[in-house]
Amino acid sequence: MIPYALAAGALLASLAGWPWGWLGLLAAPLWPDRKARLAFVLALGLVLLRLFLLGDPWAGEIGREVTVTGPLRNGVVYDARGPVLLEVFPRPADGWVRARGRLERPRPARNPGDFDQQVWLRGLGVGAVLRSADVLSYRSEAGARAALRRRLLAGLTPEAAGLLRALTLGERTALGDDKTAFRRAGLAHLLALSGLHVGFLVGFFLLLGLPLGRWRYLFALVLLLGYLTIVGASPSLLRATIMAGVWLVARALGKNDAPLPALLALALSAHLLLQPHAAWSLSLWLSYLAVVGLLVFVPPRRPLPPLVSWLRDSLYATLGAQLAILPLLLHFFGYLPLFSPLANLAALPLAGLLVPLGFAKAVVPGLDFLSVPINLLAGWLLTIARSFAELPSLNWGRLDASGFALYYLALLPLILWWRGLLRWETAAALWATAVLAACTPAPRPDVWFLDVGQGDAALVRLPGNVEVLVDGGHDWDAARLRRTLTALGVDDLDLVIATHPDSDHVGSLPELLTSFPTGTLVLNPQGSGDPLEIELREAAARGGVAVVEAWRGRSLTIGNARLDFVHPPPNASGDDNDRSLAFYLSVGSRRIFFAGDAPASAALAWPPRVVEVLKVSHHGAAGGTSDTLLRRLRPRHAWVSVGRGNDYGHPAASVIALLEEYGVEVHRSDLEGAWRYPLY
Amino acid sequence: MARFRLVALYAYLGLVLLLGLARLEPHLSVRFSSVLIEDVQPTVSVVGAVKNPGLYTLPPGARVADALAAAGGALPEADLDALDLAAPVGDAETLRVPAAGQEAATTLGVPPARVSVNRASAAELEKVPGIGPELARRIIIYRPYRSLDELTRVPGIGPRSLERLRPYLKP
Repeated sequence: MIPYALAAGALLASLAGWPWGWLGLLAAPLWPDRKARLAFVLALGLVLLRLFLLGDPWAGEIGREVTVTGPLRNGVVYDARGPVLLEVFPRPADGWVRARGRLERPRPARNPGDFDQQVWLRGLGVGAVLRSADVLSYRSEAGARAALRRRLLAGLTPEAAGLLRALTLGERTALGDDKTAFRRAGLAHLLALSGLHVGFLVGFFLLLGLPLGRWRYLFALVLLLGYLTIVGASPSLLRATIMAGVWLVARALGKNDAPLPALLALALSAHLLLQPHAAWSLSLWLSYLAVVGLLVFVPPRRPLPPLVSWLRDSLYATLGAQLAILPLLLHFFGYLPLFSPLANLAALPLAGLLVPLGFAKAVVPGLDFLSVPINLLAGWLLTIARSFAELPSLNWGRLDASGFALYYLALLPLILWWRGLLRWETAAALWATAVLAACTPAPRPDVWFLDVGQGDAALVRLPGNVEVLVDGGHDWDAARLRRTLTALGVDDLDLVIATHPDSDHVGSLPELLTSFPTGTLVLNPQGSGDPLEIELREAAARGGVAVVEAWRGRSLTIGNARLDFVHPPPNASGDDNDRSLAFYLSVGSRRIFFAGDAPASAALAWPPRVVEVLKVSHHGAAGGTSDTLLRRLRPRHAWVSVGRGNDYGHPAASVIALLEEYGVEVHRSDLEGAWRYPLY
Repeated sequence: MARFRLVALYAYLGLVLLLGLARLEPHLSVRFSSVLIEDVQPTVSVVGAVKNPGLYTLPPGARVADALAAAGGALPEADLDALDLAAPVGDAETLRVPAAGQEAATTLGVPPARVSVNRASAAELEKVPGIGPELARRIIIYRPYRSLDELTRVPGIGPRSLERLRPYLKP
């Protein structure tokens, strides 16, 4: 009981933070016995004290020019005052750095599915970013790590070198595109230094230290700690090292039956005491939950032939780990590789050989002959990852809190039945009820106005998995837009509307049309032979996307939505903006006017209809919104998609003033990021 | 009774499984909803040198020539060369058919008159799509221009923007 109380106290304290964490004391009476209660309070207090001592070293310096000095690791400078993320392009390799720049707070995600710098840095315990930084001096690292890397890579093929750097030193960026292959194959955990690696290494060390008798456990511990300091303490590696450390000490003391769940709980409490901020990092949750799943699902040992029992255990282990972290995977990565248990069965033995081999080659000089088997095994492992990456996966978007809760509620009765604590009928009925609750609420229609800087993009989600994308921002937004679409649960786009061929509206669409399943593309009437328009049509042809032209008087109906185009007239002349599509989108009684970049001077020709939301034309430029337009539409909300500090002077002060005069609630992408408007 | 309980459980499980699979299915396959296209019949006002000026509702996709025909055809003095008979008409537009010798002041079917970069006032230049007050002022400062190509002298006009502006301008 005591290890669990320690873990619970530490977790509660690090999640609640200073000073609110003290409220966690109210939970103390939950522990039935006095010792556990004491342990809980102790862990809570210690972690809170640690958080208090860490404080916020940069609180007074935000917004000022600051010089930081210290070792650089993965883009973070560990200055004596506190860690800072160094934002400089290109990012220098690890080493020692002195840099000057403006200190700012990390930015939150601008769109769903965006990389969230704030949360990522919070998990690393980094509270500030050095922006527009100048590197004053830089030394590439010459320490133990560089020497290890040199010895490790001697004689390896480039492919194998990339893989071994990731596998033994945790330098995942060296892997390039194969990183994605590992992720898509469900093998990404091989690349995160974790219990797997530590397990292989500890086994290898114990084998080496066999002549030392009982001292071999301490020998392995020392080597392991050396490894940890060289490659750096990522959450999963720290977790595994603490667990292995406690196990080794217990063995050295002659205690051979340390229960793994208690070890895990102890590791969590020690981990959070060392790095209280890690409770906010995704890798910590993935790491601990995977081990919990593994411990729960691997059945107790039974006398079986060794190969059968090994097969059975590894299959149950991957399945259990997978089940435990499934909602996190779907939420944060958007897909689940369906064949990952098989991929793991094939890949794990190879990784189990490669990790100690690579380690031995890196540490002991003169083992260059090992490059032959390493090249061979690495080639096999890469082939496995690449071929499994091609297999289908289950795509999903972000989950909300109830989604997470219902998933684990559905899993719990199954676990209880698996461990023999519940009859199967009861477990099945409980499971089915949770599944039923998760299935019943039908998705509700909404519009996501996305933040693509000085550009335009909006996604309309309708019931029945009908999705409409209106413009997509610049070509450099394409990858980000795809992540956002995935996060919003979009697997295919039924309709894509390219209002007019300007790069800030349709730049990303050629790539999207070829890589994202799309039903129909809507274009404005064929015009000047603009290169972007030609590119769009070619991309549509390549992607097998139907093309429809629209103009004033044309209406499209898709799902329960109706799009009434009011601009441009079929014979329109003028520049791209003058010929931009503008349309009413009606879903039930809700109506939104998407103005594209159309000029407000044409508003008299648009049939007046009261709308809920006006997508302000042309990023809020003066010619896009007029008194006449607002009098005819009477919007309640307005969305202005505009880049921060853009050179065009968008949005025009006169437009904002006019909108305020009409009592319109203005939402701006530069101020608040993406904005969701519900259509129910 | 026990058997009945088991049957009920199976039925419940089956239903839930079906429901769950129905919810999963869209995530596993790609299927597009159908798009229904409708065109309104454009209503246009035809005025000027035609037999029966008035409001006409035409079939979708109608051209200027169809609008003329709907208005009973052009009068003998109409200057049909000033019109683009093949241009499509849009809803809520006015087609003005000029008589010969009359300046074609119309909103439809006629290419806009070009603006002279050497003679036009700032206000006239600003009517050109893509030219704002600031650019109009600069165009006037850098006068004269022997050909339109010399417009690239003006800061803010590059080869690309010149090609966009060219249809609206003359030297």
